[in-house]
Amino acid sequence: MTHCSTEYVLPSGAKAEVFLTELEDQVVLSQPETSQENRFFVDTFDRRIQRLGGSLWWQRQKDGVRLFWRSAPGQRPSSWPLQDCPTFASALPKGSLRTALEPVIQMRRLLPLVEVRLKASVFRVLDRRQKTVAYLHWVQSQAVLPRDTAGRGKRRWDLTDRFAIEEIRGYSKKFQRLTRLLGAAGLRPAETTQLEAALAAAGCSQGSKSSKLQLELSARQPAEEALQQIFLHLLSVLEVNEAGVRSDLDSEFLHEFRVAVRRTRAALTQVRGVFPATVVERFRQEFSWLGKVSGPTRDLDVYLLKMPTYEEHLPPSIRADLEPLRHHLRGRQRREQKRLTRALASPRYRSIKKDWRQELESKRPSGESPPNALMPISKVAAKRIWKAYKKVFTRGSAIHRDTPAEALHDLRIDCKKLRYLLEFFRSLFAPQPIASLIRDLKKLQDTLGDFNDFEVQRDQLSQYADEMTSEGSAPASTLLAMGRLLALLEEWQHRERLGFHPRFEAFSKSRPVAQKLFRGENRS
Amino acid sequence: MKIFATYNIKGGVGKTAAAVNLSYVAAQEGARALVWDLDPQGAASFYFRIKAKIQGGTKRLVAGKSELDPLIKGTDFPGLDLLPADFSLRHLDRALDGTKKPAQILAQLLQDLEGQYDFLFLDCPPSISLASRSVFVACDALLVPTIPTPLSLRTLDQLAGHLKKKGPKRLRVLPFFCMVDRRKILHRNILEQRDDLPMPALETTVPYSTYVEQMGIHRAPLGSFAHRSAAAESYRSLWKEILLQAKAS
Repeated sequence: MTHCSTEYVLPSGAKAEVFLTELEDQVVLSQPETSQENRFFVDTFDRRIQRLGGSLWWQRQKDGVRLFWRSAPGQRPSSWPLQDCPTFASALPKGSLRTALEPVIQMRRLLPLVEVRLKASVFRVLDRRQKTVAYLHWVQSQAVLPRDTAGRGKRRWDLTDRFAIEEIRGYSKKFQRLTRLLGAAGLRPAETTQLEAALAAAGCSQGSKSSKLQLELSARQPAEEALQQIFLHLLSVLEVNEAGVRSDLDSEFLHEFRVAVRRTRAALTQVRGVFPATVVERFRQEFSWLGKVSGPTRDLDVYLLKMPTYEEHLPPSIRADLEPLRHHLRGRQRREQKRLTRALASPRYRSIKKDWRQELESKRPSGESPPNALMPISKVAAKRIWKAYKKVFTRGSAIHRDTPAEALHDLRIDCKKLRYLLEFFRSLFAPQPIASLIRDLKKLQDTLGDFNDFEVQRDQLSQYADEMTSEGSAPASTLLAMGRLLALLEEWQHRERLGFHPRFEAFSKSRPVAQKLFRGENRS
Repeated sequence: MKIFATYNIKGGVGKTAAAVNLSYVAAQEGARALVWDLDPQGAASFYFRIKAKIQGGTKRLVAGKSELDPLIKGTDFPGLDLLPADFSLRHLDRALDGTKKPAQILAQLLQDLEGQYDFLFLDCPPSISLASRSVFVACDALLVPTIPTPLSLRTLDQLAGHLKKKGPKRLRVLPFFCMVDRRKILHRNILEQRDDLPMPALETTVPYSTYVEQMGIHRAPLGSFAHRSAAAESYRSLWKEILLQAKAS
């Protein structure tokens, strides 16, 4: 029946002890009850929990840990006992917490964020009957970062002391009086949560770079400069995810890494005449190699991520039969992951990064620029987008019920290129039409993507069956279950194919808008 | 929300001690509990160090002119609140008499608290009156502290007789023995013949304890200052038994 007030902080330079002594002239405080807590905050690499507005932490306790979840600042946290600190959503306690967080965390790993060590002293504010009429909380805390891979030892930062008043039902006047006394002593409401303050002190308030492109380009910017900006952003996304890929923390690191690689390739090949042909050719090849070398691991990741869905759609009686397949996939994933790690440790990879960055950060001597390098980016972008748009439109319109699957795959690639171009350059065009164009394109891409994925997964499944048979690791029951799965994949693929035409139709309605946006720009 | 009333026609049998200690145990176990001190003497309010006074008095409350909600005070214990007594409660009967459906008034007032609490404890004054009828209608079970003496048993018979004639049929009556002194032959004898009671008593008995008397010095529930005492332990088992009974009904 109580609630805590906002948290207050002392004005800078003020001492908590002095404030408390002065407060005792005005109110009667009990001896404080003190407690200490070490809170280990966790979040995904891309701070999904923070973006949700909540915070998740664990504390050690006898026989394991206790997990705490605060859904919003100022809310009372709920807690659960656990054997161990959770690493994935699947390790969260079943019930409301998992229901709330599983769709947010998804496949991401919960990584340690920062440790906050706090010493809380709770004073009872007493009336003349010695009855408690409010609680005054005084929290002293430290942010702690553990030893890191860069060889830095444990680091600590003292955080500003915080105070809070807890109201007791039926004593609102006393609560208001205390609030006034705190204000009069110069205390101000804290502008950040404890976690935010700890992250700021430890210098890690910013989450990781999202692979989402939020570039602000200006229309008159020379094309070369704009592209450099885009490439540098993509390179930083690649680098930021690299450590996570190497240690295979979760599958999303590799996914983000590969998206950055693909985007780089698309920008290189789609926007011509901005960089010298030799540069484009070299890095096209290099990024293509990176795509290839990381492909098998990603395919296996996808398979493993989809396994639960597949199993859900099979009769319960045969679900367990797929276990050897899962085992096989895990084994292969580990082998491919090793291969990938070796590639990322190779001199070739190191020089790609080094040379590419040098290329992007250096200024070409004037007079040596390729034809489009100094053109305004808006012109170059509009021209390229319109070309890509037309290609998607023409190819898509030619697809009928009997068109072979290859045509859909080609269209999928064209759509991807168009999507990347739209995303690179969206800041150059009116936001609303671009957003709706991307939305329609995305829906079309989803259908094409799923259609392709099912095809790839069918091929792979047959391949796995061969491998497992020759290894002798597939009992007949497993092969039968895999056969069921194959039929399921075929059925789903067929469904996507049926969905293609309505989606394409919706997309093609955007043609006049696209024409106005991109061709109009070209003419002016 | 389950509503219990600690009730006995006889005074000085441990009604308030039961309300205060049982509600404390319930709150300690994580439930949200409220004690309503209906006794104008305000002993429960005293135990919680809360002034026995309600804004506007009993009359306005009974007349529906003020609500319960703003009168509730948080105690020093998490999850446990109190609705303090007021000296005007001594005129509760008269106030009820002036209303249309006196027996329903309390139940109606308590409806406002639905959802806020898991358990409500009405700490009733002794006697049998219009006010106690209102309590019988409002609550799910009567908790009747009974000292194992002939006089106490007599009032239990009286209560049983009264309820048989005038009490609501669904009302459960749960007597339990308290202030039990096993050194006294009389107490032992009565406990041995507990099957002769007009209604079955709860298994748990609360022993006579100097700690219970000390509640008035500490002005706090037993468990908060004598957690390990036999009496505190007996209230914990008593609460367990009451919960089982409440579930069974």
